[in-house]
Amino acid sequence: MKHLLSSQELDRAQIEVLLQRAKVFLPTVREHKRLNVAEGKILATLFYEPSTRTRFSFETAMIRLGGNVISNADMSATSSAKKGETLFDTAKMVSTFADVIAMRHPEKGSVAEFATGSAVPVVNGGDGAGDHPTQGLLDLFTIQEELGRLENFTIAMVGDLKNSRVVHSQCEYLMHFKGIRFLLVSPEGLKLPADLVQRLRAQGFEARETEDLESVMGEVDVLSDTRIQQERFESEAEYKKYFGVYVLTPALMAKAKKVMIVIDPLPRVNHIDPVVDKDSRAKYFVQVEYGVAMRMAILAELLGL
Amino acid sequence: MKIIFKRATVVSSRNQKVRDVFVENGKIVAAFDEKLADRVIDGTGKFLIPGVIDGHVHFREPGLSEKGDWDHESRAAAMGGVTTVFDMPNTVPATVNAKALEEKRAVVKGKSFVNYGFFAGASEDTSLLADMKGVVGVKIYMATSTGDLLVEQPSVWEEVFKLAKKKDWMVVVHAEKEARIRQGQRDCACAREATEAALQLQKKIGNRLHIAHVSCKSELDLIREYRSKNVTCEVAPHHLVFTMEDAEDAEDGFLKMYPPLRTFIDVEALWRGLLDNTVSCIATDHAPHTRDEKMVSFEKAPAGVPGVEFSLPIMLNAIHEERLSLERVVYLMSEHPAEIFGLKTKGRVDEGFDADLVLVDLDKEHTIEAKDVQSKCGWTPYEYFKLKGWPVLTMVNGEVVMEKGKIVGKPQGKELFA
Repeated sequence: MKHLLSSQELDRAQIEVLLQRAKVFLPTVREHKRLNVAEGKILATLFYEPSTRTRFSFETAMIRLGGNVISNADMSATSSAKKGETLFDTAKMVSTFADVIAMRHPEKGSVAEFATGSAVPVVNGGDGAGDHPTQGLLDLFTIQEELGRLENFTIAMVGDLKNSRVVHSQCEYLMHFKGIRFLLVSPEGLKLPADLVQRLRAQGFEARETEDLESVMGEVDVLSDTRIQQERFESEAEYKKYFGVYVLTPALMAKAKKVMIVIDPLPRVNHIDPVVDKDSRAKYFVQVEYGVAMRMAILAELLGL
Repeated sequence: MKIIFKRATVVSSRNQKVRDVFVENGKIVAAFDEKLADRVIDGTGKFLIPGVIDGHVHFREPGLSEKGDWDHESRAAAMGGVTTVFDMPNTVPATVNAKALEEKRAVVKGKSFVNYGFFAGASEDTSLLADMKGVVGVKIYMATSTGDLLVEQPSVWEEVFKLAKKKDWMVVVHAEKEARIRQGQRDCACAREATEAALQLQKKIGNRLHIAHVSCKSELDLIREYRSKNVTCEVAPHHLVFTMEDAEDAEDGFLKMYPPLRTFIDVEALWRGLLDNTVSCIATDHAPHTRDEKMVSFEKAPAGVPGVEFSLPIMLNAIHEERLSLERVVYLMSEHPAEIFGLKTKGRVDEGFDADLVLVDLDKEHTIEAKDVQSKCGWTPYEYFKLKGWPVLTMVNGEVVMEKGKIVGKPQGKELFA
């Protein structure tokens, strides 16, 4: 693996290696320990878009591997950005400091552009509505750990399927596995892009679109929830139209199977009733732990460790 | 017998969960009342895994019982958490026809502490295979090893592949190129060229092919290209823990085996292959020889090392070295071997599956000594290895056969496929 820029570039074998290595790192994360495999290596985190979870997750992963971190939480306010330095030049500069770079940017394709200038591996921490390859992988890892299998299950993807890079990334990875049914739950205006639906179907997956979450709740093994993201809408009026369409409540959870899981990249806005947190099927907080282990695996792979 | 494993951490290839497991009449069954149990085994803090399936052993009977026999070798298996073994045909007489197979069956019956199956051996007269029944598959020695089962002509390989396809047998190949060996070159090219020939032939015929004891990076790269559900391969633990340097300047033959030990680059590639699905399973190629036979010079010593007793501890120890996870060990040593050898009721700790189970203590540390060895040969290449993670109880067909380092009860093993 040279870089990790998109969810499409990994094959089944590479995904399997990452899942296996994440498992190996999981006890280190759970026990709050530190390894020494990345001793002397430096991760630079460059975030041009605000994020607490993803940035902390990458940085924790690097530190638990035994490496160090140089960081900028708000790249867009830095002198480089203000002075109009190109991404290519910024990459040239940062890659002389760091051994691996994690980057988030609001524009689709920007991380790949950055990577062309970088002398060291770059990992995409989210590029606008484009892709979020590490989130999709940690979701896969969560499903493996919590559901116990990566084949033969029904996943309901709920929310803004049009703009959610997380959902797109999940679809890309799940296509490598067998026997998965996709239930695509969204308002009419926020449906999963048609080409992605077609690709799922062309590969023999059942992909059913619906607006009604309640009616499918009883079939679901994995509920992949996403908030409706305000930053992806052009106007506040447009955002308000969809805000609060799907709220996960105890009443809805009562209709679900006894053995199923709920995953969500968080943060919570108002789309999950806090009472649901106490439900043992809700996995969105433990997911954070899986995220660190998966990012340790990704960084270790990129660093050739 | 009704047995309950209480609060054990049950492991599959994908995850682990603390739960109770109920065993009755040799099977894993639905929960029953604890009061009805003959025995309740506390699994707190321990891991319950499906028994190890070792697809490649040489238990030496009939004919070579000075090297090993089914009583000793199957005890070694049970001690190491192995609950099923498949025996290779290079015994005396070689298992190359129905008569020899029946003879082996009679010798082994009632002796084995673990479940077992037999491989037929290919000889130049492929018609002998036709009336052999109840075998796992057929082994082709593309190069010389212990015994005289060498089959060098590609035309014979093709006949065997075709016959195996018809019978739905797995073809296992010992892939080294005899012509190159005769030139004194038992190197990676020697292994790779034979592997390539077998892979190309499989592509043409479409049978199930299993490459035994893959030892080189170049072989793995090739297998990765040809991979399909009908192409599988195994790696032996000795190729994962020793390099050729360990055998350099050896004055005896204790680290001699075919294929031989390789470089650290190959070793690292094998570990990598265990993670990315290129390697299908671990199999030991357990091949005991007497101490006296191995005490001579490296050149004169016969090839082969015992391994069935320590393969699981070696892999469990690798978990602590961050090489792989317990789930992956279960995948490579039980769940996936069950799948590729077609054992539909083995390899998982689930209701309806056979109660071939192993309780593992991942924190137990022990240094291997020759006096531990159950194999008749009485030695092991892993002497003085300090390993963390050991099987502490082995159950075969619902009966405990090993507990706390001691063999208990009677031989429980049944022949599979027969």
